[in-house]
Amino acid sequence: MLSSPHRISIARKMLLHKKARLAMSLSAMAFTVVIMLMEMGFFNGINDSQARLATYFNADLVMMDMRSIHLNKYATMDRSRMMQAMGFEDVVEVVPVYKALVGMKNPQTGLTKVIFVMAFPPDSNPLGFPNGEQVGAALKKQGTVVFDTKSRRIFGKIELGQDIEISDRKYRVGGFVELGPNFSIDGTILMSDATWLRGRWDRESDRIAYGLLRTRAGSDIPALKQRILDRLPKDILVLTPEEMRRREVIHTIKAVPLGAIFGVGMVIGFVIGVIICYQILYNEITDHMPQYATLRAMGFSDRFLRKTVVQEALWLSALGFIPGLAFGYLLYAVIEYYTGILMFLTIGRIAVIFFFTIVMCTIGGLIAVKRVTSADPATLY
Amino acid sequence: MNIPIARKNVFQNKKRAAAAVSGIAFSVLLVFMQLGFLQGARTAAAALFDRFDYDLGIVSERYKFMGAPDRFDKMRLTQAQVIPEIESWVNLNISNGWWKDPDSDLTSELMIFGITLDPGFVHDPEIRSGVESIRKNNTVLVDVYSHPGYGDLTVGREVEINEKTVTITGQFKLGVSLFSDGCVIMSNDNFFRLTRSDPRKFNYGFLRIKGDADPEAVKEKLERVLPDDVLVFTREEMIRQEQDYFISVKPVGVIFQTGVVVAFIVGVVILFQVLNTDISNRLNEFATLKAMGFNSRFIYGIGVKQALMYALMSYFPALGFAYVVFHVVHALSKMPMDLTPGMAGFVFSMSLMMCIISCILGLQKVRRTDPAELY
Repeated sequence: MLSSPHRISIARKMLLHKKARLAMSLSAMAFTVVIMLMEMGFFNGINDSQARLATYFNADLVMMDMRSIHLNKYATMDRSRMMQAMGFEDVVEVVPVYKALVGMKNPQTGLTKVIFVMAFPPDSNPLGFPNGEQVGAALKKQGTVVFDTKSRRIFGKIELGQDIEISDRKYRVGGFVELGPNFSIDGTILMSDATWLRGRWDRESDRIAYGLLRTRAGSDIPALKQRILDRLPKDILVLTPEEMRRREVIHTIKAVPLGAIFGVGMVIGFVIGVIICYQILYNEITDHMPQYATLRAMGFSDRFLRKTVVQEALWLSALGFIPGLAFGYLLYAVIEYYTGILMFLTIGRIAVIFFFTIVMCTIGGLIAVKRVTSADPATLY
Repeated sequence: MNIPIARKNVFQNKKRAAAAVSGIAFSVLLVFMQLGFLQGARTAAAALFDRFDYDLGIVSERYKFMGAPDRFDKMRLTQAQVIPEIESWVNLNISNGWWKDPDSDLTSELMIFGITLDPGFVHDPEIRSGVESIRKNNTVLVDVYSHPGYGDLTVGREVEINEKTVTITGQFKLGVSLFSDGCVIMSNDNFFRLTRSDPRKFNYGFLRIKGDADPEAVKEKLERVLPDDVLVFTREEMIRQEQDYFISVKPVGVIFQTGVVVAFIVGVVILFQVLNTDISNRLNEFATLKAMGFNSRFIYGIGVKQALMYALMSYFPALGFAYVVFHVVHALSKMPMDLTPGMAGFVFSMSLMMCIISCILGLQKVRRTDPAELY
């Protein structure tokens, strides 16, 4: 009977019976999906934002001082390491990247705030900007800088051609890029190595923060990395950009109890979801008690009824997930726009939340299922 | 005879009531958690400035927050003394350094605070009692909330800071996980030597003013006397601006505020749904009441009472649960998590708001109850 082509999807019909109530229930489900999405989004968002620079590196390997703990707490290394790296056969180019935190004066308020400066040879495009050539051309002019338009508003509104004051010297803004802030840096300025070396910075300005290694096509990167580590003095680290990103994420998770903070939120969202799902199904079963009793009287097994309820739960998870995802997506965009926290969804992340939603509904369904088997045909009349 | 109709309605189906209450309670708990984290971040951001006793603070004009404090010329503090209301001053300095646990050879990041050894300026009793012990060379007070990688932190132990051996002579509780793995406090003499920073430049100047003077007025005078390269804050402003930086600029605030709003909406939706179901199931009873001559207000009253009962029954367990979770989170993460009466009150009013909104939305049906439809 169950496999008959005229099979009626009882689960769906039961759910759709009262559409207004279903819509209400689904909005509650959707919000629990939103809670989980938000909590996961902030957790990933903070990690991704902290590691953002590593994902931009346009290189095969990144060389840095041993004492560099993370992207914003680093030590510089001697230029000679760069020359030594050039000596490896597979290495075709080493791009020096200088960086420092310096004071920039907000042209509107006159207040100086600390901003992140990065310098490199103009043609090297170390961060793989889509407008890399333009940026390079702009930077070639001595004293010209490129400003990150996603910098926080504390630096004021910056326009093309404007002169800005960094460490008490004037620089002209010759272009823009989009990088974005995080918890450690509020804004970014790029300049050429030539402009950098003429500036008076706090630290020894000819020491480099990163050496970006570009290799011959087809070279064995892990082997090259090992060779460099073996042959060069032990005061350096060599990582692929991906390793660097991962190192950064791990550091962020360890440094701040992010997992605990957002994990608690996720768990609570999940529990609310279970309760809501239970409640929806419980009400649905209560409303349809006579129908379930009739089904039982007709000889359908308890297993069949249980299956129906679990199917309803699965329908709920699917139907609640879609509006939840849509709303969450919107919220991600709004939050990213206003805060600069990188908020994005990947298939994997969507799948995780969908999985949680299914588990959540199944648990709710399994708790509610007991009720259906208490449907007594004798009470029907 | 007065029949508690609302109560009977709520408790008629205990299982359903329990599900409803737990759903609402969890959304209230979520509100508590989000507010707790927000409050925790706020407290942690300015914790240092709460440990000292002063009326006015001086920082560089480039000052951003504790993680990027910048320095000003120590002359500014001498200049400040031309104002007769200034009684005394101390200075506090911050630098990043390295901590090495000699047992594990593990090196960690460290935040080093250098202070003037004047217990009168220290508010925190543990730091105050430790001030005398760090007068000697290479002695430090250590934050017990530092990262576990710091190793054993007992008094008398020798560890390495910036490749120099130092002795722990006392402990305090601060928690700087927003900035570094951990921190120590040492005398300014030790600070400038160990960090090799320029002793002519300070990060913070803390000023004490004479008994009856008004800090605001003295602040204005100072601003007039001192050059533009420094900023003057009162103690409250100092703490507030530190918090604002994290909450608004970074912006930690929006993360938790979003959480509060979403949790609130979920609470409203659940409560609405519960009311709606309850009322739909009892439309006949309500119509009967109407036919018996009870007016709509009476019937609304039942709905409102039910909503209120759900809200209250959810709030108190959530409050208790939040109290426990706050303690657990604090124990695990060392984040300051305080459930203040203000927070409890705020969430209580939020629960009432949930109740009001869901009543407005959910009680529409009652109006339409028509005795004629009964039969």
